Amino acid sequence: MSVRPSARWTAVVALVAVAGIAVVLPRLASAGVEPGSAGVDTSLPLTDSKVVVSGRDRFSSLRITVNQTRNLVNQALSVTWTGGTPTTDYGGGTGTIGEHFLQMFQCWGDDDGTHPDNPGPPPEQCQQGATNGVFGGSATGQRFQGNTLTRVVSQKGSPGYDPSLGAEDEFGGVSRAFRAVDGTVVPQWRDTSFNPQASGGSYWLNPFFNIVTTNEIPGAVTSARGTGAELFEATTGLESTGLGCGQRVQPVAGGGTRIPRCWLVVVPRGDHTAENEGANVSPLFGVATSPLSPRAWANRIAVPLEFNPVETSCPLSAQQRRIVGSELLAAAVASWQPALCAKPGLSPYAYGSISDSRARAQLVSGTPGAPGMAVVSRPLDGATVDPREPVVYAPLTVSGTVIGFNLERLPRVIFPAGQQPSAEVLAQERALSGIRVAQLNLTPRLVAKLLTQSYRTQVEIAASNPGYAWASANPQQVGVDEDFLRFNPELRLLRTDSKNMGGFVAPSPGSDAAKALWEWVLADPEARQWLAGAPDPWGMRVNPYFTTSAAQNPQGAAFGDPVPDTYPKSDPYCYQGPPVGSLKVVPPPLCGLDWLPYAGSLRDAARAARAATDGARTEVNQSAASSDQVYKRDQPQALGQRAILAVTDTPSAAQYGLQTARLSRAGDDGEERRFIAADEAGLAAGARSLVERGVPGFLEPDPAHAPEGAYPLTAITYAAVQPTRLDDPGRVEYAAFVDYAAGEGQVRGFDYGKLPAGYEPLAAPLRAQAVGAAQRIRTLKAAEEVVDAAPPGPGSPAPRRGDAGPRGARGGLAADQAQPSAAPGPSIATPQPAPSETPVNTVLAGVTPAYRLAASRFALPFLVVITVLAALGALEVTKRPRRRIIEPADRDAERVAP
Amino acid sequence: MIRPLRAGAAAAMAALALGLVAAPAGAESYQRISGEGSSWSAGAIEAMRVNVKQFGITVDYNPSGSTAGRKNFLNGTVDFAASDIPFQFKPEDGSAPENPQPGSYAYMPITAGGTSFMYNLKINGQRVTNLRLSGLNVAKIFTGTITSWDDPAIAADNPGLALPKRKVVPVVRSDGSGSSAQFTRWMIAQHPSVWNEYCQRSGRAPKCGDTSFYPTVPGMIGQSGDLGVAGYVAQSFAEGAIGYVNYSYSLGARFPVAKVLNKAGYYTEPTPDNVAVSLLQAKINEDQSSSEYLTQRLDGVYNDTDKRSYQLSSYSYLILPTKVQGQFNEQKGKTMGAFSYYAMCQAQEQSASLGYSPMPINLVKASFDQIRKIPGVVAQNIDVSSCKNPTFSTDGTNTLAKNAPMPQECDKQGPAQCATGTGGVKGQTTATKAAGGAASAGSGGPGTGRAGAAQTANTGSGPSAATGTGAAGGAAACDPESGTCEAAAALTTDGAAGASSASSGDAVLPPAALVGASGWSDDQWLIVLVAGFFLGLLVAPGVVWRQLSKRVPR
Repeated sequence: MSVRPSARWTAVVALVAVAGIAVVLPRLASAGVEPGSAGVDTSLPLTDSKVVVSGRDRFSSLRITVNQTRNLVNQALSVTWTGGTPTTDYGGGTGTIGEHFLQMFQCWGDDDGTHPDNPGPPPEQCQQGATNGVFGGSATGQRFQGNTLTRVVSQKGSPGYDPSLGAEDEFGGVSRAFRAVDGTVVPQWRDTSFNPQASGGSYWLNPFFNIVTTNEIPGAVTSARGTGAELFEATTGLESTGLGCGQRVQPVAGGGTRIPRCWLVVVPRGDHTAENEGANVSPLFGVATSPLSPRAWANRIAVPLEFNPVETSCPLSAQQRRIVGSELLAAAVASWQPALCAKPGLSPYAYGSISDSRARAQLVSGTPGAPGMAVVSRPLDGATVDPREPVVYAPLTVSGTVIGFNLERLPRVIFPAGQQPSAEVLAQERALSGIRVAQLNLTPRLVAKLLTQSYRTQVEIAASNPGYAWASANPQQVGVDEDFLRFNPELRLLRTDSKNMGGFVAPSPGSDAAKALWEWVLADPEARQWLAGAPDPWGMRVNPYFTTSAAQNPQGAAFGDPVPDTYPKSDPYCYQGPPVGSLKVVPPPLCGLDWLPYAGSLRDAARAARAATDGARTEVNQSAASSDQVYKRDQPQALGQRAILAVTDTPSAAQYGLQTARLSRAGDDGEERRFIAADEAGLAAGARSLVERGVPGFLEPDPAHAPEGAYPLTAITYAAVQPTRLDDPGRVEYAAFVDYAAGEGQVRGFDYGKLPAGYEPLAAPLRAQAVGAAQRIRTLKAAEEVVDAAPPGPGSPAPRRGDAGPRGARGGLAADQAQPSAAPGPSIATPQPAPSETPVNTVLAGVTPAYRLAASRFALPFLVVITVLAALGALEVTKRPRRRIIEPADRDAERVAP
Repeated sequence: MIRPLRAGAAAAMAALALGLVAAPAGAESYQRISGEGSSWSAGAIEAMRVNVKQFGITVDYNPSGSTAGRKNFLNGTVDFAASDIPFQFKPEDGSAPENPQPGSYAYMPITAGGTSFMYNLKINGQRVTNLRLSGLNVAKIFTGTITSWDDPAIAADNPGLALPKRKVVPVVRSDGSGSSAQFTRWMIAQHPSVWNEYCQRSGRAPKCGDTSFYPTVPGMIGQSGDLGVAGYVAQSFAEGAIGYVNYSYSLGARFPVAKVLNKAGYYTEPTPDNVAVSLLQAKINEDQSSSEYLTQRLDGVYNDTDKRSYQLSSYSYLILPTKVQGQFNEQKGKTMGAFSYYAMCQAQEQSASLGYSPMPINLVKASFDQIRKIPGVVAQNIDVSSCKNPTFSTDGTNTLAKNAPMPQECDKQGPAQCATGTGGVKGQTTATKAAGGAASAGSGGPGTGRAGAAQTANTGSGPSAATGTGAAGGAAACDPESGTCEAAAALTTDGAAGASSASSGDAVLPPAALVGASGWSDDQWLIVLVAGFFLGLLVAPGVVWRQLSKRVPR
């Protein structure tokens, strides 16, 4: 019952988990169809501050694990559980959640003493109730009943009516107030009498959180085997002002403030008779009461969350140093900015995400006000650069383009002839339903299929078949494509019949990253042949609008020449629906873009996949009065049935908790392919696989010759600067940015200033190159330029490759790459053990439970601290004169800034 | 005694390690705010939103369209809205009136830009990048009366182009949009008979006023948001399509925009410079007691006779909350104020990079006054000149407008037609008839000279001179803001795997050599690490002592 993660509980969890793997998921020797073999654990790794806590009374078998509870910043936490009752009334097609689920939210405050064995905050101090905070209904795709998502804890006229619980609205609903950390009390969370036709007023009344900003999880699903997993976004006071976690904002008696205690509260919900007792709810309903109602709250499980102090914000200043370029750097810049702007003598940096090609053009534009630094993953064309104003490149980050997915297991019911699995396998699969798939394997040809509107779901818009002859043998979507199933055999057991499994949510703007993705596809013989018009072994053909054969392409030109740097949707088919409603309104045509719209950015694509909504408007509104009203925005996919793919990048996928597909190399077309994940090893090897393609010191992908183990879509972003165009402060500040990026900015971590999840730190030679470039940016002045602009001779000192020899030495590289991939490759024939074993092993190995730390644990931090101190010391010693130079400007800035 | 000391030292070290030392002790705290609205200005707002995060200011923005933004502001489910047009008290298109409570909001112009006509058109497989259209032809295209690109009326605008017999596909906004409202308002003002006839034909009559919901007829394509319209026009199947989007989206899509004939007889596009010139003629409502204070009347812009003027230039607005009610309180007002100051001052420097035009000084000053109306704002007395706004000058004139380049003479209405590209493909020239199409439309390799030189050659003399030198008809990606170009080796490289992208090899200019970046191996790094370690041992105690002694007294 205790929150303290006793050894007993960790052992229990370990045993349960081991049992789960050993007993529930035995290897099926023959079938190749193994429920769970694609991974069932999508949670984040356990840390030494993980907490395991159990439920009470009728939830006493519930064991909840939170992977990290201390040193928190704004980050994702994994909440996993076992011993729950399987959720009911979902999966039947409606997606409505009925009974047996968990509700989670973040709260602040001291223990209210109600459960001595599980201290926790009072219900008024929880950030809950905002997910149906849009006037006119819920917009989240969460399908719950009654007051399940609200703070209405009692209803007038019901047997359990208790007006003392809060403020009563005119319809007799009694709302639990929200008490913010600063003491403000918001008695009513929404205005039930709000009339948008009348002037004034607001529907949503709580200033501290709303549907956009809340981090509550309104309902988490427990699988048939009693387990579940969710990502919870822990928020500091910057994101959730009403809670103030990590901020010194809680007033204390006698004056002053302190950092509040914060909590993750889980309210387990059971069956409707128990949950709805006293609430006057029809027995036909599932759970229909608020988690803050006394009955539900009695079961609440609290886990303390300790945040790092939030003190990073800098004062606004009128000065800023502008950088434009690739979105691949955006997440890193967002993390670095608050640390950089706290450094004395530097202006804040402003970053504008624009396409690489525009960034290149702006850098050399020479117009007044043009940004002095562009961030790109391909170099500038030499023809555009004035030889007197050479470009200095500095590597900044390593990340990758990924296929992110959000795929929840929905067991298949009907199987193709001859493919009916055994009853045992079916039962195992059913036990996993609702759990997210952890791994997918994709080849260049499969990605090509998904990019080219070739699956039938992409051209059969609103189920109307345009009658394409070429598509007659094509599968509906990737989940029923033999070409896919042979590398993802377990997916034979799952239903994935969503249009979002036939194509990607992809970003609209062009980018070097998109071009690299196409280059990888086009470098693969199998994919290239298929794009040229040859069917795959199962008869699937490319949509002719994407064929690289000019003769077959209805547009009369070959696709892929030049290599696109966007994700086009070239098929012109539009569906014309019949007149709608009594007014016989003729709907507008529905085209490929309406069917599966673009996302505005890589981050938006990840967000769309996480929320399982692509933003399409295809739902018919029968009461439309004009054609523009016919199609409404689609509801998000139903919980437990999500199936959506997106093109995004590693930091965005990490931020939104997406799983990412493993990819095979271009040219690796045998049966036993090796699939490479966009993880630390894959990205590190990927970065090493990049080569110079014309510009010394600038590494670019060479997909046709990528070594084993290298993630194919790895990208390095480079800062490009023309120092001779800059004034002294400009040189100093851009150099400082590069120095930071190459130093502190490469240290992994959630804290501001660190390298966010999804990036792989630069290898030492690249960091050295960046430091050298920074020095050059600082010192390259007009006087030197004529000498420097001369093209380097053969003996140029410029680095040629991340760590290996020159470009040609592929043999050397292969040897080099063998190291990280020494383990037998996870080819499809010998699937790796499910990753769920990893945390289990950790636990069995006896990681010391939280709160008891061995002294030796300080060794590493101590070393790190010493190193950091050394750096600080060096700064302290060396920067004095420099600081003196720039201080006057800085002072001016401060004077000007009010 | 030893224990607390050790703990203290550890804490100090931890603080040092976390870099907290440099953080100011009394950093401001800001309550999170959220907004919704215009997709036209979304590019500018997104950049502001992202860059204020470093100051501890958290802002959410959902670019769901001006209409949705105003609606949800009124519902009170967002704190602020962004809209290209004011509240619609008496909508003329039959939609429900919007009734904000007097005194509960204020308009603040946040960015300027042009509503551009992005198109997808080819002649013999070569992309047309220099299309010109008179206002009347624009109106006729978007009302379905010009249906083919070889219409004589379009030919009259484009003496240098032999436009194909291809269907014109107008692409309009399907969601409630401020762009649609601005565009229809312009049509009503400038070409009323065309609009009124269309209004009848499309079944919208008698509600024929300006509208956020563009009426459509068969043959038109509706798309949601600027992103949707630009995304549609950019598809290869969409040859013949033309849609209205904010200029920044055509830059993002790297597609051309039509130059529109202005009242001085020149065809222009909405570069940030031209927009700045045009908006000198915007009539701003300066009646502080008006419910529409600071909103724009654009007839002067439509009829501007400056050669550089672009008719469909306009401002986009933030709708600021000025009353504590619902979910909006004074703490949020503090955030709203700080964000607004940033938007009006620092962020304007970034505008042109993103395809927008910065605000002129009079509107920045007026906005500073609007910001003071936000409850809870920490009012600032910003010296306007400290904002690095490219429009500002010491003498009160609009620097950006003053220095805006004049159009080329070949942009003048008449027999000559510039070959230079527009929008997102500024350096990509188009063969013109006068220049002898075949010769200059060469599909040859990428330009090898400095593209800037080609640009210079283009200006001045007639169309034939324009394509004769430099770019040689090669595709080049150019900076839409400045007109300088990047020869597009990348665009024309063939897809052969592993091919070097330097197909323009003769012109590749290696960047400055990087000094000291080569020859490092792990050994050297180890040495550095060890050296660093010992240096740390030497320096650390002193530094710790310094920092501790700095901190302890507080």
